[in-house]
Amino acid sequence: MTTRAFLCRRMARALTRHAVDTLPVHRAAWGEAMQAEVDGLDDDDGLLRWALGCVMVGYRERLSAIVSVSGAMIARMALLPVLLMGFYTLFGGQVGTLLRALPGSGLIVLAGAWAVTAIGRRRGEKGVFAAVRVAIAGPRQAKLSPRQLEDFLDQLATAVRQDDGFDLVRYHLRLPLGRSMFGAYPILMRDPHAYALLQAGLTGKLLVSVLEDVHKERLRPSQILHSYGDALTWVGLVATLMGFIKALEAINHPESFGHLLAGALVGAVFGLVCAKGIIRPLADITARGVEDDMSIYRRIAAALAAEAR
Amino acid sequence: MPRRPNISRQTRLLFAALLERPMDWRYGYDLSKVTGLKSGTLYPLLMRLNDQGLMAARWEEASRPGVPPRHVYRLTADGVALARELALADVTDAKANGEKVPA
Repeated sequence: MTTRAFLCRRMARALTRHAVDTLPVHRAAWGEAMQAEVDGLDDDDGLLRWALGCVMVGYRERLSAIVSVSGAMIARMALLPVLLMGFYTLFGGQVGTLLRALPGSGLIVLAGAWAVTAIGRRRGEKGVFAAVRVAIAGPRQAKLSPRQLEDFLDQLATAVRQDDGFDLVRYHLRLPLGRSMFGAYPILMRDPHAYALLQAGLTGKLLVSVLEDVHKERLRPSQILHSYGDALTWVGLVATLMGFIKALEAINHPESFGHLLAGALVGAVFGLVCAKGIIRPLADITARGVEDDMSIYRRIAAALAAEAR
Repeated sequence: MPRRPNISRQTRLLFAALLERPMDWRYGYDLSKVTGLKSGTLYPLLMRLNDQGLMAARWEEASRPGVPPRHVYRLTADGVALARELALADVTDAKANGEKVPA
């Protein structure tokens, strides 16, 4: 193999791995198929083009998963400022004053609230951006239907009842989706928490504590969003007070005093709209999603505990 | 009854390629070479057809040692029926437009 061919193959593999990471979880088996195709190809010239196409597929599928899971929510979020501005204008408000003060006040409020949340962050913990991403993208980008869960539990129970069933299931959990007996459930197999729970259950660990840990970890993005929302509200008030101070400095200039005073209030309005109109609903949606997922984890834990007895 | 897919030109090309040898399992790259579709177009089509129950996919062990198993594809019975219907419609359209159609 020439150096060029070797490098092409290495790059193609790296690109396909990226495509696999980008694909939504319910398409995980297709990611494995793309990787296997690249590994099995002899055509070095076409490899890179093929791998780049796979990356495009990964992004397109991820985007369409986000739109299908959160598209309506994002549209409603965009509708809120449009409605507020629209009614404000309709009832005689001057949008110009708002828009002039918005960039400065908005930046102060967003950055200040981010700093406040960062102060309380533990080392290695994900921040506000990661929490927003989890809330918008959905933790798993696809939901497991009740029917799929029942089928999975049936298959799991059948497998563990065999001789050395626990070892057999552990072995199949480690296999790629395409070769695993649980390959039809990529949403569960690629969910790190479901996977950890299964591993713990099969090795006889206490599942109650595992479930508690999972619950705590899964709720963290929602808690971060709540903190950020609170910070937005009060940093908005701080921005308004700062605006008042700026306005008072111009008290001898009546032509600009009124504008500065009006602009000062934009900080509080912006903070409140972001906190209660966007961040709070995102946090609530995330928390509801966690509770849905926890009910799935509890069912799996109960099934494993029953079989272990 | 599976949902009828959007019949784009690319989907027709893929159906035609799979219908040439409906009983054979085919690699993605081979299908790409036959149809001229790039991986960025081919995989989404394969995913949709698989979701709609028109195409089956499975893993096939490689004939050479050290090479991992690859994903292979072929039409299901519903897929074959739809592909034949499309091929027939294409022939009818071509005849209606006065084009020469191979026997």
